[in-house]
Amino acid sequence: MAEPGVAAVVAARFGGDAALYHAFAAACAEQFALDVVAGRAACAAGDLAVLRRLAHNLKSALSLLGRDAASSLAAQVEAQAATGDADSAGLSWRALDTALSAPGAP
Amino acid sequence: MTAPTEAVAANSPLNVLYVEDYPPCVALVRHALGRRAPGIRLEAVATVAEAIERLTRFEGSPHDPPRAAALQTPRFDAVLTDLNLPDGSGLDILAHVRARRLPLAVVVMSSSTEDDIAAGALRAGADAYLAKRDDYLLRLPQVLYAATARPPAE
Repeated sequence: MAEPGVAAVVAARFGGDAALYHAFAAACAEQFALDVVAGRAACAAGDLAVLRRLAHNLKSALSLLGRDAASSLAAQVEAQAATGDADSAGLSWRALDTALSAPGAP
Repeated sequence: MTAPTEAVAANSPLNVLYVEDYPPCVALVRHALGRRAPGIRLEAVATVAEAIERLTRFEGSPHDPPRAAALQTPRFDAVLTDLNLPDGSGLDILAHVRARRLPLAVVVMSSSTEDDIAAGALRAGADAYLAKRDDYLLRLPQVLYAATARPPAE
């Protein structure tokens, strides 16, 4: 299913306030860059608690931005990290990392 | 009880302790309330421990607002807390408020839309539960004003 466009997200989740959406998207762009670095370090260290926490916050922010596919990936990482499945969480994180690092994101 | 009107919600002063650790979400709520309900003033902290420290200072503050202001002690009408925090749960903060019978409304927020999460927060004594989905930013001012308009949940 196609993700909602910016206009639809602004209308549905930001009350039509495009400036509010763009301010949030800009704040997320800065934060996601930090999260990507932290996530890579957590994967390398096998720190599932940190990975779970990062994924939890990303899930919510990505959903608000209308990035439903990436939000689902974050939910997957969170669930896998919660069950201690380091291999699956690491694989899912790599897919999420790619989505977050894509040009033009968020 | 009737919900306050938008006009009342936009202008009435309300001091809120906001507990959230993800910086973009803090900025978003601050901006959204600033634009839609400028009467709501937020003080943001990121952890359960910081929230309890602020509330402990609140507990010790005199009930005389001018004196409290002179002593620079925090005065809050409500706590708005994320459920999932780095060092615990928003329910820990709720338990602290209720155990000490602090005269504060508590609104719990989470990205979960599961009914049992919301029901659990309300059973634990939250005045309201807000899922961080869809139009929650638009509903937030009214939820905060409605929560503070009723006696705190037991």
